[in-house]
Amino acid sequence: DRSSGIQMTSTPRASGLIRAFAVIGKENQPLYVQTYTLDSKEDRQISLHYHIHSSLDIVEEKVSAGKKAYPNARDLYLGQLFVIEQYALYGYSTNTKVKFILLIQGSAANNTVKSWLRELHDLYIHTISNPFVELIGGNGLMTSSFRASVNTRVAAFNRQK
Amino acid sequence: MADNWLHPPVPLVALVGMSEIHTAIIGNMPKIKRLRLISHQLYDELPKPKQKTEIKDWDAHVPSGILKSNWVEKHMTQLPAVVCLLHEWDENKDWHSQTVSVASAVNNFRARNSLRNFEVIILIVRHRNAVEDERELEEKHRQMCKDAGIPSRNFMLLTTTDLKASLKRLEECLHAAATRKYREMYKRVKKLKDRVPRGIKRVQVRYHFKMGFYAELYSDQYLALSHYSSAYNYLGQIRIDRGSEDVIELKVVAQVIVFKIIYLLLHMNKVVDALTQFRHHINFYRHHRGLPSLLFHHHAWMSRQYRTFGEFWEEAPSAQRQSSKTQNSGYFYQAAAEHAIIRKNSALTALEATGMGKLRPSTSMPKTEYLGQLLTLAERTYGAHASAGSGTGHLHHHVVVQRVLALEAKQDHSEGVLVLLTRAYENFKRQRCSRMILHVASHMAKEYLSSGNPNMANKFFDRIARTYRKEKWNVVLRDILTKALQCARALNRSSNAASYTLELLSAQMSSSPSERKRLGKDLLEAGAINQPPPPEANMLVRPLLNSKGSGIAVAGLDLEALPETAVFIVPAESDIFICKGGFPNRPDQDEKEACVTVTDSKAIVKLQITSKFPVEVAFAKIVVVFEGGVLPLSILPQSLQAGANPEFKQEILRFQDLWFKEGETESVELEIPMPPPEDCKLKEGRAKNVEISHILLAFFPPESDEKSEVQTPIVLKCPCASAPPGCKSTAVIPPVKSNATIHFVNYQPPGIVGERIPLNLRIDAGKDTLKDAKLKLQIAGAPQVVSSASPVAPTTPLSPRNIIQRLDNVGPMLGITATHSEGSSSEIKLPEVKAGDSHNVTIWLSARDAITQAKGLEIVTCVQYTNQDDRVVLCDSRANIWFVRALTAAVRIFPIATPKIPKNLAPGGSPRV
Repeated sequence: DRSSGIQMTSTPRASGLIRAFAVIGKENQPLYVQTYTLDSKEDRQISLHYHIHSSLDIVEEKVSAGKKAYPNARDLYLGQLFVIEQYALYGYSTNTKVKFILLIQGSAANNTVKSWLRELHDLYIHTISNPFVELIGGNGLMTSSFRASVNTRVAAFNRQK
Repeated sequence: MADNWLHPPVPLVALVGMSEIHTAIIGNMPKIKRLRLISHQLYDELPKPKQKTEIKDWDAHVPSGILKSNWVEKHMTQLPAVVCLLHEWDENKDWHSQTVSVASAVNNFRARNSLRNFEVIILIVRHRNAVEDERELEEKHRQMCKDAGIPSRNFMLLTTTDLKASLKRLEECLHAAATRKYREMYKRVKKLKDRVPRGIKRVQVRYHFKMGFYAELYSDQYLALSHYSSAYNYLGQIRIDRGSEDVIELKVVAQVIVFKIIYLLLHMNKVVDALTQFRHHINFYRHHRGLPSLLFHHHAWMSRQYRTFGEFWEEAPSAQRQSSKTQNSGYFYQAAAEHAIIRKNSALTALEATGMGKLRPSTSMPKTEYLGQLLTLAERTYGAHASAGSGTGHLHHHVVVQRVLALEAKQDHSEGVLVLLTRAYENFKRQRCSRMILHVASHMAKEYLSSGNPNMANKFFDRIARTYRKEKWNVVLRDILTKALQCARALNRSSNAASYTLELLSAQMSSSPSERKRLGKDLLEAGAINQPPPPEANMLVRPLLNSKGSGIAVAGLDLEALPETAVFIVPAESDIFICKGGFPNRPDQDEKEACVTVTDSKAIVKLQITSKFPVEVAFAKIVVVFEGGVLPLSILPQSLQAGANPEFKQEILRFQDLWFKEGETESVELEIPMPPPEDCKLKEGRAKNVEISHILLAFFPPESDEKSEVQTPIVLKCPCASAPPGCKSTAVIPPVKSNATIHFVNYQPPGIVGERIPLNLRIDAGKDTLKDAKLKLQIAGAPQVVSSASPVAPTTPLSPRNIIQRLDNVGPMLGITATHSEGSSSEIKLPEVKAGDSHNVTIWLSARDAITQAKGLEIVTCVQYTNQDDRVVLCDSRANIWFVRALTAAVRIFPIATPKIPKNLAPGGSPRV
């Protein structure tokens, strides 16, 4: 078996930038969706919402397959869900079936994404521990403090690149 | 270049001479996929090579292009590696003369094609086996080859009597010859390539591509892959301005090379490598957009990349095995479709900017010498001179744009987009990716809408809105509803349009204020609701068309008082109008109690309506519908004529002429009549609850109040959200204890069929004074008669004994009639009976058929009166109904068990027989 000898031409941007982040509830309803596009066109932003919603198919598949394959698996990070166009989507599912979806333009190292999502999970726990935050019926996670914390972390992630 | 380059090349062999048997040979050739045979006449011209001057000074050399446009096509269809000269053996001629004729045919062919060093094979066609022995025959064949100047391995004999075996040998010989020839061609190009400096990237790309192609032709896939990869890498190193038209050439060549690489990788089962290569390719050339005016051309190219890769993925078994939800060709088709949509929009913008009139219809793309170039060499040379001489280099650029635009104007974009979306849809469906299907379906719906098929688009939007609504993805839902609204307007379906608008106006959609205002105005100006939505339509705000006499009725809405209209059922979470209603707390009652207790015949109800509708509206009518037997309360302006519905009508009070601005809250307190307590004993002790079920709001745009007679109002059925402050949502009517009693003084069943049996009642007033008293005759234990007036079945099933119905209703069915001094009605008016007095009533019962005791039928007598405290009070009593036929009337004389008048009559009159 001879080597194919392929040398991939490097792309202009090998690292990724966060373009959207979403927290999805147990019933697959969005609790928090934030897009970070330079393009102010509404169509572009809505298309990211569509991608995040589509990724729930893969999350469901991975969560159910994970339970069957590894009943004792405790890793909440689901890895890369799918790639469409220049976007890659990553997932994280908590034990209470709350999902975190990260949409990155380009690609990023799995470990970086995993630790970032874990941080967001901690932030989520911290936020919902506040008795005045009502996830259902109330303002949900759309509080200014949660948004500010997420934005800070997104900016830090994008700056690393 | 046609799509030929997408398929793997196969060696080309030309059959020359004896054209009448070419079809038979081609048709019967085994393993035909290894070779491609073409038919040529003996004197047909084969492609001749062009004279090329040797380049000595590479530093000064500027290549005109990378790959010739027709090079691949030429090697796949026109220029054979092997020429097979056919010669029919004449058995009547001697060997020598035939050898001479074969040699002359070969030499003639060689002379005509001296510039092409074809591998020539002689094929002798014989119609019977040779008579010579084998050794002699071989010697003769060798001699023939020697005379013709070809090696003996290039001599083949085809015997028509043994065609199959002969063709097998021929195929192997041809394939071996073609492989030899292509190896030779590979080596020749390699020599040329080795002379080219590495800095001349375009020429390096060309030679590596050619070497890869030849290697592929002689079936060395690894070598081919290596050369294609080198060609691709050299191509990536070519430095050009990403915003110039030269980008197009680069991208077209890159497309050809990368799909050669991907095809080979997929067929070597290196699926991950193929995918990685494709992603690198897309990410690298994504930013090579070319001329801004030709942006659509870039997206057309991107779309083509995704589509081709999707097709490769679908066709390659190795890729199909790895298909899953996370990776399947649906993604590639979807991305291709998204780029095709951008291409369409960009093309329309570019065509509008240029003006279609300025495009010459005859403008067409000339056949250029080099792949991916939009100008011929002559045009390029002229453009270069013009640019250098008179400064008219922009002519160049203008011609390119004109040509590409003219070509683009002929494209049917929508069809292409829909084909790609359908493929993506099918792939996702196969993988059961339900949400991805929705995304694709939304694209399809938008495409149908933009291509002028709103009917199809509406069907798609209706279907996909369901899941987004269920999962509360309101941003996406808003996008879908906005488009669905456009469809409904295009189809002139005003009821659908109104439904979508109302849903878009709801609080959770979080539309912008200007958008809300526009939607509100459009809704009010839309006019009459003209037709019901299709049955399959899936809407949150569901319209219910109420045409007069259609049999559809909404409780409490007096349709006679309004023009023909539709009622929109608005869910609680919409918050377009926040309706609150309840019963104010009584001063003598503890506020912590959950309900307000009403002991009078009238009660106060408080309404509070807050408008979140973005435009000022005027209500034509407000109807409050209650649960618990209270007639609907209508609040209507004097100008509107009341209808014939049984309702409690109230003219406008303090509702500021029923005009509402956005954010305004109005509240009003009204008096309503309350029903009597429960009217039968079986519910004795239970309180009767009255609640507001919903509120119907009929409104016009404010400026149209004068023409309200002719304009159609919009009617919303809003749920009652909660009680206003200081109110309770439920009013309780407690049961009132009766002091009056009913006694059966003389009643001796069984009666005889056809005769009347007396039922003497004595009504003792006890401590009460009986005013406005009525005696109601009812039957218990009969099967329930469902009347059109009360179509709603009871929520909890009752035992037959507890089903009490008016004698009027069930008597004809059971054959029971009751007559009394006032006739045969079920209600008998009683005179006022003072406390301590009594009143006697005689009722004559008769039956058409025998009624056994086992049937369990009972007559229930109920007296409803107003007592001295002006409270409505009920008391009742019941007894068995028993009728026998005359022949069995002996039971009247000697009854088996004499029926006894019950002695345990309760003071309220509730005997158990």
